[in-house]
Amino acid sequence: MYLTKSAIEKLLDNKQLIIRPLLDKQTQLGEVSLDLRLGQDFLVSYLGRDVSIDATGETRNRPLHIFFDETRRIVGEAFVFHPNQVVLCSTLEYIRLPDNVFMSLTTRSSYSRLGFSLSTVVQPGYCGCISIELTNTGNVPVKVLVGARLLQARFFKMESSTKYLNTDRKYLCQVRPQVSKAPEDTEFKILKSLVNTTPNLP
Amino acid sequence: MKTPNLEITPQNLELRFSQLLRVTDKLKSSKYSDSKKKEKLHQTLMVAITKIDDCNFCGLSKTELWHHHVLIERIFLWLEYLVDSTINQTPYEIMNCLELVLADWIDDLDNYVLLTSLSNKRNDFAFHYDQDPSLLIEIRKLLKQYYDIDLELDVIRIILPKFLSHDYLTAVHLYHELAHFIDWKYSVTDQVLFKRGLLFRKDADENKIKYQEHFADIFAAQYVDRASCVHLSYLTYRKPNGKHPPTRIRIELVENFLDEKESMIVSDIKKATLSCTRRPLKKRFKTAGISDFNNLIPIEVRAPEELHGLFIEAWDIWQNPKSALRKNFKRSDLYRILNNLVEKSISNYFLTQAWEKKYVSDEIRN
Ligand SMILES: [Zn+2]
Repeated sequence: MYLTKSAIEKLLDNKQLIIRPLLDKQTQLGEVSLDLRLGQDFLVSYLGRDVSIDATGETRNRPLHIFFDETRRIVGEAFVFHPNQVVLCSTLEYIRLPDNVFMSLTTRSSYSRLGFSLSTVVQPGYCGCISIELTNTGNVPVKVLVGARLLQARFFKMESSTKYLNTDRKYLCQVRPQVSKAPEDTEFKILKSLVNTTPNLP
Repeated sequence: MKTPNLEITPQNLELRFSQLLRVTDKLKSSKYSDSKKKEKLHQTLMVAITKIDDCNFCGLSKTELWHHHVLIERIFLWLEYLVDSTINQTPYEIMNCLELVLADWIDDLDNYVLLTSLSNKRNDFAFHYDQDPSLLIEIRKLLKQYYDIDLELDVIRIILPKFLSHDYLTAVHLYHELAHFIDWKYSVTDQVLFKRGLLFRKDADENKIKYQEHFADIFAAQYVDRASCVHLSYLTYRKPNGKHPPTRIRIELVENFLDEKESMIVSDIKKATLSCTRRPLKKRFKTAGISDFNNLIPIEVRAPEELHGLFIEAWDIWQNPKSALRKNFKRSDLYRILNNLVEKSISNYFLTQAWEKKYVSDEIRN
């Protein structure tokens, strides 16, 4: 079920839900949502010497972060999102979710109307700043202030708890945007071995 | 400044200035959004460079050539520092902490601009500043005399290893290095040596180095407790520096200071510090009983004492074989997590401070 304002406040008060910093609770906390801010660190994709990004898990390929330039801003500075450029950023807030609450994250409608779209789910028990990928799908560059309330989070309470800490350690306690860890998927080996074993059906 | 008997030809100078212009091109669009002082230094240097660019070096006298050599070398040096001090390069979280320490100890902080240089060497932690103040005075005079430029700022350069610029465990070293700057500014060690009757002895230089280290160790302990000693004992293990005092004694003195145990040396250093700086050596850190770091969340810092305490909390977890985090995480993950948590705690503190200040002043205005 959706958590309402009073339920979110209760979680915050008894420190089951951690949002740090929560600069302006009054403004950020809505009836069924909480606004989150754009963080200070960015990874911007650029065209390097490699012809393509290889997400097939070939170990001899170069790590994905070489396709991104790291850049930092101070809160209150502007960041320009160029059309169709993938920008990895993160929330300004460091978040820790309770073990029985997951969070859906979308761009606030005022930013969606500028051409941004994002929709992602954050697992129960997650802790860290949340990496998000933003693309300006419009055809003019858009300047956004670092620290602006770009995102809207909604919280869903579940019947039972899960233990996030036991699974996804690589993404744990991050404070900067992270590149895709797709090449580290363990099932790639299995998938590739299927090439030789799948019978050629007529 | 006397003109030395060296040949500075216009052609030498032209070569140097051309090299300098190449660096300038790189720097033109640099942003230092974390500090107005860096911006000001940058602008002043750019004005100076533009004006020097119009100067015909062939028309200068020998003395004037020498003066320009001094000016150009200094501008070049400052530009080198500025390259690493842009917002993308500088680890401003740790810089902000150090600036708070400086604010505790110097009154004219507005005149100092802190720049960073990132080194490729893993143990390079240092503070660089003009040991001879007359040189800076001379440079200011020359800038005014030839180009009508006023430069009030003084530069402190903080050097740290590039690969460790977000390593908040090792960053405690910088508190020690900062102490050497304070010592130089107030001549604390000289005072100690004088009081102990060591200043005019044959081995004064040797003693000076010893007491400089003791002062810096104790100074750092004010802010980061035993944390700076822990790493010190690793770095100096089996490699006793001939001039530095033995690590064992250094650590013993820090312990004496922190536990307020009777010690002649500590007591002399405390007295000299108070008389030279008008500020006491005392514990200037605060830590929470149970650290939020154990719950994998940043600490909500409310005062500078707690800010310095962050380094201690991170070290406590790292050093404690029984800590739950040690048991639950691979060491490389724990290293990353602790550094992230310290960094986020620091940046949250400065952001919240700035936000509240602005928010309150806006409310008053409305
Ligand atoms: Zn030292």
